[in-house]
Amino acid sequence: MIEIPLTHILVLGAILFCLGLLAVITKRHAIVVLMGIELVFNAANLNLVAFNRYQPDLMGGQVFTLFVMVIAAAETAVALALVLKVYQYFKTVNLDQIRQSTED
Amino acid sequence: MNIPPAIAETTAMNNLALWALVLGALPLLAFILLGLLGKKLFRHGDWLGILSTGLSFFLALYLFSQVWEKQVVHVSWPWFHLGSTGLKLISFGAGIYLDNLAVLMLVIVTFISALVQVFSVIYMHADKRYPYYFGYLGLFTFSMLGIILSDNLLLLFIFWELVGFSSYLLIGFWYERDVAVKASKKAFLFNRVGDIGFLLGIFTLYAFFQTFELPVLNAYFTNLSQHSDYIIFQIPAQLSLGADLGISRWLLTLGGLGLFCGCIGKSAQFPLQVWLPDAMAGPTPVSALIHAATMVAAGVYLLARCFSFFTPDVLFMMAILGTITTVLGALAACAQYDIKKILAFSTISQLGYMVMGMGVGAHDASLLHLVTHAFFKASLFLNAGIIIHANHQAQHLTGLHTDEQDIRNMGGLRKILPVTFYAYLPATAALIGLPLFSGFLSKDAILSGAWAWANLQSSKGNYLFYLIPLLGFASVLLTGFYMARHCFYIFFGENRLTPDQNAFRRSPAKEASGLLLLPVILLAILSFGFFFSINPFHYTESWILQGISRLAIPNAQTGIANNLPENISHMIHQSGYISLGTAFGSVLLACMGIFLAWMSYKNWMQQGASPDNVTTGTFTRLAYHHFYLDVFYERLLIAPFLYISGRVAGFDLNFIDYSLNTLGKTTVILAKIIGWIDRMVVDGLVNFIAWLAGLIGKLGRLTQNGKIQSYYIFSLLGLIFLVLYIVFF
Repeated sequence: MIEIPLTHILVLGAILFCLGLLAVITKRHAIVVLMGIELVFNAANLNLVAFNRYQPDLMGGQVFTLFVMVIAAAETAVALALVLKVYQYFKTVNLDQIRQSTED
Repeated sequence: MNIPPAIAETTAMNNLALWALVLGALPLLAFILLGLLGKKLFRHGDWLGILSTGLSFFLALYLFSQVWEKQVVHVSWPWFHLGSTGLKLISFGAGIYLDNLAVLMLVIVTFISALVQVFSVIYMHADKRYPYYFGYLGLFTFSMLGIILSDNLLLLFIFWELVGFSSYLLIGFWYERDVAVKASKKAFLFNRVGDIGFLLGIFTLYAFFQTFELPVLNAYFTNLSQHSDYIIFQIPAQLSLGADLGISRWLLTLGGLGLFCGCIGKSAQFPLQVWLPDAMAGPTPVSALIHAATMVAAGVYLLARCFSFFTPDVLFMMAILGTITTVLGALAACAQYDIKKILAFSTISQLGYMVMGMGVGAHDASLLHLVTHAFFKASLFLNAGIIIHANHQAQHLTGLHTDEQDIRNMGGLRKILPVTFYAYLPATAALIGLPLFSGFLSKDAILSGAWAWANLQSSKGNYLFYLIPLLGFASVLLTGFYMARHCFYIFFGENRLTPDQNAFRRSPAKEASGLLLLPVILLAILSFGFFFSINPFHYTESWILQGISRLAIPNAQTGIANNLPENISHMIHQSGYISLGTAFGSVLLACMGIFLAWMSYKNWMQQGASPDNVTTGTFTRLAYHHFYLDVFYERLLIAPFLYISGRVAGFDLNFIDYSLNTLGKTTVILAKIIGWIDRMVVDGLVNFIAWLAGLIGKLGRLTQNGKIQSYYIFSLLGLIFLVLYIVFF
């Protein structure tokens, strides 16, 4: 079994993080922004899983990943609830439009 | 003349003094109420004025019945103090002094004032300031009563000024008319000139005697001893002022002239008489009350009150000025065409008689003339008011617009206004001095006094003194002439305005309202002589004359006038031809005057033609313009004054104003420069700091733009910086 070097995984995680960040910064739709945040989480999780290989007995990296997934799920639930409320109030989830209507 | 027993002087506070206060306060009350409430009152409050004055009249009658020939009431209250308690305290009193003269004047003033107010109800009914008119009359009546009741000169002076002020208000009552405004100002200023003299006279007396109170002053002037150029007064013991007072004659003469100045102003004597004809710009009833019957007589009243203070020189001055006034007034009256101006000049002339009477020592005759003149002159003026009223109505109805007071536009009113005519006649006869009428008695008394005076003075060989009685007689002739001319113009011939007789009357059956006719008829009845003397042919039997003569006052026989009144009265009694001669002489002259007027005016009267309207002849023109006294004052006083004030104004403008303006301009330029520095440097610095703060604020605000994603970017940049910091340092 060919050992995948850690560098590759870290580069992949960095790419994933940058894609997520790009989505967060550039997208106008709130849910897409949330999706970007998920990508950032996943990039972090990928790193944690990769680092697990240095101490496979303790399984610390993988357990941590599970924690992050649970917290991310909870956070997403809260964020979606907020988006729902925002939509009810502003009739839109476009971030720029929300900003304009708060300034009026 | 029998001298009555001494009359006791009451000084304790009693009912009479109280009633006198009420009497004086009633018209003031009317003035205040009318001034405050005015048009809110029923009938605009005319009843209030008439009621208060009527009540005053009945109180005056009561006081008259209690005081006349019975007692003298003098009650005084402390008024104010001068000086601190440590030093000598000078206290001033204010009080009421009622003697025969005062109560007589009270009755006359309140009676005529009440009648004039009744008359004014109709005469002024259309006026828009009707309540204020009655208010002013109340103020005038109050002030006049104050003059009569005052027991000291200071209080008298205050009321004197108040009278002048109410006269000013009433002359200028129709202040929409330029003439009235000018006349009121003129009257006020001319009176001020006299009043300054009056005030100086009061000061002089005060400087010598330390008192304003007339009874005290009179007491001084009864206990004195005369020396060649000074007079020694005995100080009453209770005053404890020390030794007797020696005052030089010329100082007393100056003081007396000062007091006389007050009379010259108020009683319209030469050379200040020019205000009185102009004062006719006021309403006619006002002219009747103030400028004929009462106020102008106040000067004569003052002379009577102060009679014992006058030195022979002052009296001589009075005689001269009074005579000049008499003749000038009579001459001017002969040339006038304004119905009221003729009466005004006649008033000046009669006041001249009174002052002349005072000057020659016939003070009682002078006061008798004051009393009789008050009634017949008020009657004449009120009649003139009816005539002006009728003429006004006729002009209104016929649409003609001529001068309603010009006697050339009248004529024939004998048939149109018969009651007025028959009321006018006795008053005219009294003014001319025909026997049976009141004026005959008083004028005869004055002329007898003047003749006896000239007789007395010329005993040293100087017959120039006869000029004064002779000029007095000449004025009798002139009076006859101008009053006859007056009557011929108004009442005889045909009416020159319109042939429509009913235009003048209230209705074809009635010539004028009863309220207009009643006062006139009452006053006309009082022009008959037997009200004033039991024997209407001889004045010495006049009860008024006997009552107001100083000879009846005990201890008043001396004085500084060298016993002039006593000597005059003695001489008239001793040589009976004087009064008989003056009586016949004056009647003859008066009839001659009437005859002359008849000769001059009979032609056009019979033909019904208009009299010549142009004033011809140098002398007529001179008289018509009142001897150019106004022009004289204009040229001699007003023009130089205006010239000087013009120059002073020029100096102000060219020098003081110029330097001030230059200074002002320099300051402005400096201020502009400082302002620029302020704006540019000080403000600039502050503004720059503010702009800088604003810039920083704007930059800060750029980061806080509410875009959630830009916050991400900022935190990302922060993270990158953090990482770079960790990597490189």
